[in-house]
Amino acid sequence: MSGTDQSTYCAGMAFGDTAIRHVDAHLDWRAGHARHESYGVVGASAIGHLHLRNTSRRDDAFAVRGLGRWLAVAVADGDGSRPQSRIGACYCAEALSEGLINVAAHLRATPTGAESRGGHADPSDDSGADTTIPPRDRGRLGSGPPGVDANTGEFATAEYIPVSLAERTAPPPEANDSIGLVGWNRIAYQQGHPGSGSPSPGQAATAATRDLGQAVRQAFTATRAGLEAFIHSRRQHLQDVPCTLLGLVMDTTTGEFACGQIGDGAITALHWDGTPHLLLTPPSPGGTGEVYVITQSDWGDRLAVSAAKAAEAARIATLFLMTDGVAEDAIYGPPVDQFRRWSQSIDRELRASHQLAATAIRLLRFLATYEVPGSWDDRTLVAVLANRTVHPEELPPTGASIPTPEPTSSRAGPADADNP
Amino acid sequence: MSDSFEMDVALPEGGRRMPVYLLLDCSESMAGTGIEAVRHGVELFERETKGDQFARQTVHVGVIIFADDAQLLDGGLVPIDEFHAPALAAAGVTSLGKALTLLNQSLDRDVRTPGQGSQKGDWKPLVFILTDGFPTDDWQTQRGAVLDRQERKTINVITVGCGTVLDRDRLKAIAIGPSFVLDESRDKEGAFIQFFRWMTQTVTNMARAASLPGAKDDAAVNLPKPPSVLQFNL
Repeated sequence: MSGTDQSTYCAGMAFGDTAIRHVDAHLDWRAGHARHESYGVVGASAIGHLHLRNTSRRDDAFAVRGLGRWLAVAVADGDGSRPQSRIGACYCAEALSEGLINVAAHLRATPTGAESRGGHADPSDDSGADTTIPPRDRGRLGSGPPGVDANTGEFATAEYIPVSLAERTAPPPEANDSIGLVGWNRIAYQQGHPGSGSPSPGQAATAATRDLGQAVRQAFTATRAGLEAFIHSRRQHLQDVPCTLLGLVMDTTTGEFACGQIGDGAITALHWDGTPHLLLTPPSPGGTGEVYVITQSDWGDRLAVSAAKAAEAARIATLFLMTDGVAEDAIYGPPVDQFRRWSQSIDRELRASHQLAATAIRLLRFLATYEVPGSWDDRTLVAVLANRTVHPEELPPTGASIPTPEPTSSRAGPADADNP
Repeated sequence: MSDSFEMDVALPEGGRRMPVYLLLDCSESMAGTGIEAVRHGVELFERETKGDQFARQTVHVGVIIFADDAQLLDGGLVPIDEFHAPALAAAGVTSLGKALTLLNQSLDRDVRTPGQGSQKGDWKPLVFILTDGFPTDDWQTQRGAVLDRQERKTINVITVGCGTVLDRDRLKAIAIGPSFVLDESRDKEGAFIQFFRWMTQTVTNMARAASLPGAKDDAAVNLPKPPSVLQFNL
């Protein structure tokens, strides 16, 4: 590799499952981790006990992407009654995470930070640009979304890979544990370093919340179109690969995020004050065992989308995305306060070590081995752990539930468990 | 910092349940070999369901016996681990309407729906009705209520006709969901045993399938191949 500048680091990252193309390398157990900007991300997916006994495959998939200030997470759950459903789940997880990054990176930005205090961006204002992506790379982003070619199902991100891997510099020593690398697949890298290319949260150009929600819808649309083309290229049918799909994209400079969900599973948040929240309640067919999937013709009517402004996001310590194999055990009791108990205890465990690699392995082991009667499905959980830094300009008017800001670097790891 | 490889995470104290109702006709027409065969069949169901790794964790059984009157044994759903096949005796008439009343009451009272007290909902209940197909009370009203549940896909019902007075046309009128006729002509005891073995297989299959996302809950789709003694009542 060329270059030795220790202040230059790789700010793009990717881990998780990838689309099954020529070789089916979908593993039974998968874990990964990364630090992206001021967030820690840990994800793991374990094959269910019933699949193990039946010698069938893991139908869950997850993917995590980071580029500049953007962070995207997707999880998917293939329909257990379809033996090829993991193909849909893997494709959708990768495509949605990719699409979320791609679409979000095209968002206009507001230069004033008013949005972070609950205001709205002026849609006519085009003065903003994603300053976390270097100028020479912005020109390669293409003219706009989607992130997936609707004709081929291939990811369109190749056009914004700025330069080859060989031109990249190695991460600085202190960032050696910044990513648990599972596999790189056409994900953009960027150059920059803390304090120069990235504005502070208070000064950051903030994507309009409504645009972020729209980005989620666009990314789901692109993913659905891409899946159709991808499956067609495999000479299969959409009904062979039904899956649920959940995704989240976040502006890491402000914490502002939006998420979308079709089907079961859950996207939840644990506030700093210890209260858990279900962020989305997507439509449900009601019957036990019935679930909406991205492959159905009216999928758009089944998609739920929610967005959080910076003030709301500042209250959140951890975001969780999970398939129903985890959600069933996390949200429902008895006891009646199971959701709170689970959220607080898993958060405590995820923050118990500063080494994300160890945390990822512990999470995978937990998901693979814990026992609850009737809980035999694949289990997938991705957690986005916020740093404890709270910027004054992001405080809501009341500010009652926000802890006192603590000094920390912009790339610090998760907070100490002893000081939650 | 954590030194432990294990995660100490709060888990729920109970899992989802798979309610299984057995409505057993104990009228006079079942006397003799018939009721003995049913008793042996329920024992087989108990033994084999307890022996299944997955069904053992989820199956909860409710037995409703009916003759002159109807009774929900143990007052509700019992975990299969605590279930013991009841002693059965045959006498009296066939009060199917009373049995269906108890079924409807128990479905409303004992089956958990998601969110009640933030608890997991039960899997879709599976109901087996074993009858001589000759009800003697007002069964139509309660049958309508059960049929409504079936059409709303909140339960799965399988009706099986048996006994010497079986009227196939009447069975069709009674039937909710797939209906079968048990051929006892060659080996009465063997026929009941085969039926209960098939029923157990259906229960264990459903218990496994229910835990998978998107698994079809239509019993007609998931039914294992019936034994030769069990004929579709077309």
